[in-house]
Amino acid sequence: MKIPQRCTWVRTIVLLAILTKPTLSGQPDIDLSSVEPQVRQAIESAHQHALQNPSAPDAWGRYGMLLDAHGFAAIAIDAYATARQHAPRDMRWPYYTAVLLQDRDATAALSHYQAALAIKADYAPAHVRFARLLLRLGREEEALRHFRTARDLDPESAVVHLGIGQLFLARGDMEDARVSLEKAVALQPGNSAAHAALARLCRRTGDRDAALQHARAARLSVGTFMIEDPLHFEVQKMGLRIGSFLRRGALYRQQGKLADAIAEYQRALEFNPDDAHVHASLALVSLDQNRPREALSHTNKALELLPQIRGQHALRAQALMKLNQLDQAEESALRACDEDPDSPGYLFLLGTIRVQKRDLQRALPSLARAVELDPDHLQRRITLARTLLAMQKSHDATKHLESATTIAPRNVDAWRLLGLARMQSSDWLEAEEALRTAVELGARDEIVDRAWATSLQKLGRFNEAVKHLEDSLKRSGSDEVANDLAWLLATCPNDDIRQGMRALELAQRITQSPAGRTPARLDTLAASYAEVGRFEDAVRTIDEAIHALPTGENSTDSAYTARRELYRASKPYRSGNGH
Amino acid sequence: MARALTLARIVLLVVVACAVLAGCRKSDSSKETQPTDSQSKPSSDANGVSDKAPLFSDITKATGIDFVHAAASTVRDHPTKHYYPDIMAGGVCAFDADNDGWIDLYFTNGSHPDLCATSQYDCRDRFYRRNAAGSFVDETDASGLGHTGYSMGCAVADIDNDGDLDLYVTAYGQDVLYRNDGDGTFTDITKSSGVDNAEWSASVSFLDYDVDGWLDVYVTNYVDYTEAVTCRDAAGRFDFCGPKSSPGVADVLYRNKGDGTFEDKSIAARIAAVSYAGLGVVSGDLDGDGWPDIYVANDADPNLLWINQKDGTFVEEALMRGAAYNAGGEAEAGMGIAHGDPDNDTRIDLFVTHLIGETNTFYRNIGNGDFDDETAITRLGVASLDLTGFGTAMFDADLDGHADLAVANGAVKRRATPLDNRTDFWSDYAEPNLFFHNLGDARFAQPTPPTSLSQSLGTSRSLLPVDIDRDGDLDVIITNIDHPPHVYQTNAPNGNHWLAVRAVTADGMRDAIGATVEVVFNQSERRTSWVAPPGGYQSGGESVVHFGLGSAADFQSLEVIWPGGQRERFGGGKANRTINVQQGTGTIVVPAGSPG
Repeated sequence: MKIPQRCTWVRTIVLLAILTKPTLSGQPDIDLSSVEPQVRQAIESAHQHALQNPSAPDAWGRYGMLLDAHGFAAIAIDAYATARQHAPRDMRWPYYTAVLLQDRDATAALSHYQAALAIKADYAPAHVRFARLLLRLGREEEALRHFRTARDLDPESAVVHLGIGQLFLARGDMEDARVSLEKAVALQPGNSAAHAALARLCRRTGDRDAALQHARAARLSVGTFMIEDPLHFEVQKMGLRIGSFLRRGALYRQQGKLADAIAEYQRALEFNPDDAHVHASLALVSLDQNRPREALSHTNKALELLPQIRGQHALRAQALMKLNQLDQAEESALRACDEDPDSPGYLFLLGTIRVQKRDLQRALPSLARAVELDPDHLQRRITLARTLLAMQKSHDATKHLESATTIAPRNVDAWRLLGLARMQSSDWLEAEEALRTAVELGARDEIVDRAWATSLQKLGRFNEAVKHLEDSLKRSGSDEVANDLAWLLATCPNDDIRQGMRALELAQRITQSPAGRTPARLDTLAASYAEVGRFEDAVRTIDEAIHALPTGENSTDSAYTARRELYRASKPYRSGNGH
Repeated sequence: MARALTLARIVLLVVVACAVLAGCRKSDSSKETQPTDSQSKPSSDANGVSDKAPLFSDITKATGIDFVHAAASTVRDHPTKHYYPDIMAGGVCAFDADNDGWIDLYFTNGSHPDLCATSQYDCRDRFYRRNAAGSFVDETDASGLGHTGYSMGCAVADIDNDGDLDLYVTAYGQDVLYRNDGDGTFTDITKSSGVDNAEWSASVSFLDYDVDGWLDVYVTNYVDYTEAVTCRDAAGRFDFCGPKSSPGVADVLYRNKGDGTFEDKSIAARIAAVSYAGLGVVSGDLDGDGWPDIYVANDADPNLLWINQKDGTFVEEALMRGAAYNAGGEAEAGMGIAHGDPDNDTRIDLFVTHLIGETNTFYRNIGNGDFDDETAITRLGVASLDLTGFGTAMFDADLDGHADLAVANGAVKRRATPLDNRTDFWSDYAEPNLFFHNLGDARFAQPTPPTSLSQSLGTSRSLLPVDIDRDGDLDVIITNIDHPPHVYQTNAPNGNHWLAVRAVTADGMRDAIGATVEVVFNQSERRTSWVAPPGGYQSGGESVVHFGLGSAADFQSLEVIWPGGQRERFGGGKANRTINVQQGTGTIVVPAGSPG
């Protein structure tokens, strides 16, 4: 069969759609016979309503939106045109027409965008969509103008900065491109398109390492974020198909509106209770809500309905991990890894489950591979380092934590763990630096306080150690901090620092209750007694500490025994070999 | 007997080449070597230029080809049965299967195995031999071809360096490899060859990636689909699935061991690291280092550019080289790939076809293997927005010296607005094809009135330019789902000249796939092309390079960059003929700045 030239044909359709009146018969001029009942019913009802209210723009508009949402483009354009006839100052009708035409007949869409923006010039999403259309047509200058208008209207939109950056990149204007693209990444760190553009830019400017880094980030990012367009979302909301519910649910979830997302998915289930993708989506959002039992139930159902559906084994593993069913979780994580052996997310999940199972030896390869595949993922690197620390592999942990502090120079956790790792290696100077940075960045926990004070002591900076522990004690009131402080005040080799009575006061306070009489605290109490000359009390207390030691603590036992001899000889701790 | 004929032909070639060389030999060894005329071909049109109009004529009926593609979805006539492979299928290979100098044709047939077992439909792939009268005769049975699986596409190349072209068939299921026995018959060597790809595969590119003299095979694999998966359109009607309904599958790379067997090197070469929905593939030197790289179009996943590391491995660099996403940073639904040099800057550019709602994308090679999306500049995008493109090719249809471009289209989902007013199953998917004329500055326009190639409606898939009538211009074959193929004879305007170049390996046994040929004419104008089988989507053919020379009746020289990077120059001559250039018989050219 022969047809006229295609462009002419499309223009004819569009022209007809705009100029002719819609069909006034009782049925829409489309074949709805195989359409899902709820869709058919809604379209027919909207059509009837429009026919009964022929001058009501909203009735025709709603009819158009329903058609638009269900893929009946030509008749939707027709209905929008009628709505526009009756409400020429309503931006929606030319705007919806423009969006509908944008991916079909770019030239025809132009005038509709112009009409929409003539009515409402301050709607940023319309400028962005129009700019993209102009780019398609090679009209760069006009596109840039609209992108800039959108930026003025919405300066925090990553999509707008991305568009400007891409345009500059295409022109070879590398510096302007870099500024815009970096802004886009700063606003949306997971924007793959922005990373991809930066990868190209860096390669072309000779920075291969940065290019590789951005290329990796682009591959691992979620995707190009769509512009938030509340006006056009009204069309999407008209969708009565399962796919429509899924899309809206995903959008709500992305916006953190979990209840709205669930409502969309539940409506989808009303139409088809056996749709695997809906169950998969519900599993995801249930996990977001920390409801692992529901997540497990939905993911099981999804897998039962569609065994090859992707991502479900990983979700199942997460749910099972939260339910502490670690063996089953591990099995599901392994299946997820079979599905995609190079998924850093799945490998990390497997590693995390094994960490929870205290199987660090087997956790390590999965975690290490996850980090190797996605070296810029901070949290995974930190978890790997934490695991290495737990395995006393402080050198390897330090390497990863140094990378982590490069990736995120202001991440408290990375600096904090780096300090601890360096302490584990007895690199006191570096440990002190890292811990100080952690504190400067806001770390205010007992472990950091105590570790930092320990580093300071090891470096002979007793004054600073005391001051830091005093501050920490005031802030936290922690018995462990009090114990560290008391020990330092009782045993410090520096005469200016030692304060026997203050040490004794602290040590007595933290050992008042039976639960407080731990070997370490009794050891401190004994040293405090000795420091103030109460050697009998010191001997009695260190004996109590020795008895309280768990069996097998041989080295501590012998240290305590040596101290007992010291106290028996009426000598304080500082006079022994302990320093 | 078959081998003897082939050898006899090769001996003849060598003799002719030696005679020409001897005749031209001068005492000055720096003089450029003359290329050899090919064995006389049975062409009826000596100058290859025709004054017939219009540019394309639909000659399908006259060819005698009675093949009709069978698609299970139609036959079942069941509203829920939209077999996903049906909507992707339909390849064609055009090659001289029996060494008689004429093009023969192989069509893949993609029907569901259950259907083939029970219905009256002939689900076999079909082989047509061109007879002396110029029409095509079904010789499927006699040839030993006619795969009965759920075939997708095909490709041809000489895998055993015996001078004839062998055939690879991709399928939803086990792929098949046929060895050409030299006399127009083929032997299924799938099992013995070690080619064991049972994934849903689409397209094939032959390349010698390790430059060991034997052609290796890169196969794109699509998705892990099972019939349990059903999909619907926006209104809830059953429809064909898309790539996101099933997981993508890693492509496969087979290394030719040179003894008739292949080994799967996908993991060692790092190809297996990525599992995307692969469709189109081309290979050639994209980064200018002389070694073949691989470019893959993926459906709704980023495209891949495997850069050859010259050590048996590849590194994927499409993203940072600008060939993974369009300028908007979006992964599009990549289907077919065309390669060529429409801007005549001697660098091979890429063109990828896409889904409705996306433009097709022109990736301009800006040197060093970096690409820019210049779709808007070339004006190739907007016309494709409302269409879904598959097979595509850049070729100089009118021989004016500038590569034109054609695209086979057909929807994969029921169109919102059908373009075809028939009411059969496929009318909702039918679309017109596209032909763009190169205006001479790498901007394109659709001719007015439109050519016949872009007027007929169908659910088209493969598109293959091939000189069926051996008149010097490239004719076009387009396959259509559930319908007969279209064969268009090209009638290049009178007065335009052409040159076809067959670049062969040093032993003269096979086409030097992976080489790049540059011709100089009008004293300084250069045109560049890869020695590569045509067809970037489920199709294949001979690796003869075709140049349009416009009004130039002769050319000044040819340069060939052989796989591995060596550059040789050959002397010029008259246009309107097919010439052979053999590696090692030209003058080696040392690029300026090279050591030595």
